Amino acid sequence: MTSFALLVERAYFALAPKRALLFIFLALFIACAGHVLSKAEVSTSSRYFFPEGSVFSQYARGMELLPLSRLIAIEIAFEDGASKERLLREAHRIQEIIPGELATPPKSFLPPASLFPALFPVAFSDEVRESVQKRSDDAWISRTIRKDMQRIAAFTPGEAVLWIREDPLEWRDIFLGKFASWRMLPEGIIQSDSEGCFLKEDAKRALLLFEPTKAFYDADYATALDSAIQHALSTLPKDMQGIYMAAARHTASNTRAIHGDIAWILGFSLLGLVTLYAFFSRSIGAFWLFLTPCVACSISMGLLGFFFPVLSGLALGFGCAVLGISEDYAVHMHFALRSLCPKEEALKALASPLLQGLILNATGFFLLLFSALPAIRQLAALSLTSLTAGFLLALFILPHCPYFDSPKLFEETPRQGFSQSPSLWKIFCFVFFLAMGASLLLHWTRYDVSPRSLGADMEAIMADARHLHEEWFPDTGSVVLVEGKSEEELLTRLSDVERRIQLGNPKAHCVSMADFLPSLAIQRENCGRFARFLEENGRRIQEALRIHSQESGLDPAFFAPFLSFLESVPKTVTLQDLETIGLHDVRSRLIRFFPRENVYCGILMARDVESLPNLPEGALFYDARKMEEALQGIFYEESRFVPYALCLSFCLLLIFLRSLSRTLLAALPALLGVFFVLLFFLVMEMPITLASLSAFPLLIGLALDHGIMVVHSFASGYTLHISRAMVLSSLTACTGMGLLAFSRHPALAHMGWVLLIGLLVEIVSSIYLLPLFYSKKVAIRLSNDKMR
Amino acid sequence: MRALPLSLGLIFFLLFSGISFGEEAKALWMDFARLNRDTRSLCAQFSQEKRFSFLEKAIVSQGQFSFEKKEKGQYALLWEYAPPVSSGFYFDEETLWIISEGNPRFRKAGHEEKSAFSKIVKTILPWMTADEKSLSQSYSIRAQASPRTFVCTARKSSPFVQMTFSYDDTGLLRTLSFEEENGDSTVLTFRNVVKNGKFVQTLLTGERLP
Repeated sequence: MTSFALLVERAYFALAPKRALLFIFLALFIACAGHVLSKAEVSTSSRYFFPEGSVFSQYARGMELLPLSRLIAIEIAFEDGASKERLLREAHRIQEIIPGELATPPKSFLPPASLFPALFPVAFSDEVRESVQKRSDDAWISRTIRKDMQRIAAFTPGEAVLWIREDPLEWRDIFLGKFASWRMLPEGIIQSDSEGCFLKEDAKRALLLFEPTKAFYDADYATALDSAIQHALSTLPKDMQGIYMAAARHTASNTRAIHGDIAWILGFSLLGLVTLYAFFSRSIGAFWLFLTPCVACSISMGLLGFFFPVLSGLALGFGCAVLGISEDYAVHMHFALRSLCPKEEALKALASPLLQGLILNATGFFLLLFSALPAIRQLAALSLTSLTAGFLLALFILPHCPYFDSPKLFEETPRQGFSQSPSLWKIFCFVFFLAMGASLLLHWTRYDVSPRSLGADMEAIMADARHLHEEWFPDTGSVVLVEGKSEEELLTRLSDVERRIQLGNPKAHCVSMADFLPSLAIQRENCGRFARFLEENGRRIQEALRIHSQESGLDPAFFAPFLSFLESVPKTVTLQDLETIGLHDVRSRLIRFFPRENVYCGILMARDVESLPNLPEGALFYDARKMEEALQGIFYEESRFVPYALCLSFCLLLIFLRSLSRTLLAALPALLGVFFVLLFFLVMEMPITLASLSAFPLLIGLALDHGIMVVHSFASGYTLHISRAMVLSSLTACTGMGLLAFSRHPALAHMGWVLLIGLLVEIVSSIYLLPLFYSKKVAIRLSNDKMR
Repeated sequence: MRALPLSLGLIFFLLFSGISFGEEAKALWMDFARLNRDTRSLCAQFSQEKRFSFLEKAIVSQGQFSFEKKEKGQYALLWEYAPPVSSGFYFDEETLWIISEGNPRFRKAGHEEKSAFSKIVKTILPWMTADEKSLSQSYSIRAQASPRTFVCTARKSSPFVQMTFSYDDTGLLRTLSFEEENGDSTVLTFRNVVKNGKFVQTLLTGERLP
């Protein structure tokens, strides 16, 4: 530590003649950081608070494919009474208000007719062959050709005619029947004339279904959609009410909350900083103090953008609050240099405690780098870089800034009359009982690891979702999320999962992409089967078709596509082929490729599953309750950071201070802070969440910083205006991080409460409580000597 | 079957709608409207010629239709194809019946069929109510005096890119044709058109309407 102090002193003298160059270099560095930050992509998704790891990542990916994630459901209902005409009128009016560029009526799941020849052979399983055989006999051909003739003669436009040409014998119903029969809505729901509009039989409620036009995690789209729907619902008459459910609603709420929180926290933090600096500093140095956190945060956010391709909005939101701690060192440096102590002496005296403070501060953040939550890791990286930047600025840049160390304050007053070591037994007992108390409080405090604690407005969103589920989608069945490193692997696994479910549940009804586009291996088998079928039956079917067409008065040339299909050679089809031949919509509903994770994800929907089978690797049942249980496990793992932070900090303190009593004393503000935070949470019946748990290591690091400054002050015998500096730095930390407590976003708010309560307690204890543990031994000895 | 109401809807808009665009067209329309102002019912026999872009010969069928305006905006409509097609539909106020071969010949339409039919009706309601503003938004219409013909080109996406109808000096409909985007076309030629007669009560094969 002494060598570090000397290094700082030497650096000061070395850089003094090169100030201009120093500032130019700093300005360039800030410009580069700003450029990197401007290119960074920001996401407001709560997914960044989902731990990384196979299960959670798979859940997050699967959520995008869930059928209900791909729908926007709006319910309008009468509060009292019912009128079918009014309900329909309002429903149609709402449909008209929602802009088509934001949401469209749900599209039909059926592929275009021209794809029939390509898709049918690859899905030609044994089961399909049996059904097709029945639809190839003479009676069937005669009946359907006659029906086709009636449809054509009676005027059937567009797609319907194409289907009659491509598949006059209605073979498509056999393999598309699985999808056509998969209905999201239960029996007893009436479909109105308007597409995507459904009524309850009692005509009290109507449901409007839409499909989003963009991904739900597109923040701009989500907020636009949410605004449009809320506006539409606000136009309902007073005796009607409306709610809606959509994945984009969660994004919109989070986005608005985080943007709003960042805006006002940033604004108030800056205003608070300016006010506090002006009041406490009353010098031009306040300008440099104000610039320091801005520069430190700019640099740290730029570095963050360099290392993380996508930044979490939550981490950035917290980053704004870090403004209040990155100036900590600058504040200490400012007041120390304004004392009458020579500059070099002040620098040397401050260098080591500031470095120790940085290391202790960084301890908490460093541990968070190992968190399973991506947002917390980003937050830790942001805080570490911000603290380090603030530290370096304070030690190597600020002493060179003009007017930073003036005007001088008052005479340096050594701490006289106090022992240099605190009373060991006193402090030990105090710390012991404090630690016991904190453990008890930790045991009594409630925990909440549900998604409610990680997203804005989650209570309302989940209540509406629950209501819509119960009213309109009571039986959506089970969903299995399946993943694979390649299309082939995914399709093979989908077939495997379906086979396992059917084995254990013969009455189960399963649907997945593999039903009409199986793996290549199964496709080859099916194509071979279809080729054999055509060899045995092709000519006969062609002949029967020609005869019955002529009997019905139809030119057989009408069915030319089907006739040539009966002579074709079946080929396999890949997922890429589906894109090329125009089935992008169908494919994107059931399968998606995630390029960042390099994984293909698909879903299988199953109904009437009574017993869950063992699933192969890469497949898991989507179950929100199980996800919450897994999050509980993650919570307990994350909670280990608190004792780790305390232990590591304690060891570092012991190394720095080389005295057990001083170490315990320096740790006291941190322990008190943790104790009172837990007490606050218990009294206010607030649960500890993943977000608030992540704030504890931060609090410990910050509180230790002040503890060590006080202990050093007593050890050196010089105040260096530490009290004033600590009050200022704590108040600025409160205006920065403490304001998070009043955020709209629950994750930020929980972290804010931990830091606000903790910081207030630690500053009071650092300034007023710690000195009480030092006895006035020197004063008594001096007076005894005089008496002798 | 979904297409049946579509073609019928065209009859509605042609008979009971108002159009706004161009002075000449307006004058011709006003003339047509004047000739049909007192029309309460209409029935006729028709011959339908359907041409597909991929077939040399047209598919020809025969049939009859009957329309009656009722109180409070309600209506009744019968559209029937003669054997060998033997299909059609009958709509009376809230109920839609599908006519098909076999026994019974009438069955109530399901939701999808009714939905398809209602869509067509919704599309042509502006014509029925002579909503000039909606009409001019949906179609650009060109008129010619001799023979009296209106050519309607859809402005928005529609199953038919163009519809043409002609009428005689007494305002009775003579022909109706429409073209689809893919080049298919249908031409209806009407004969024995009766205005303000009784609504037809039986099918061409003799069965009574439900």
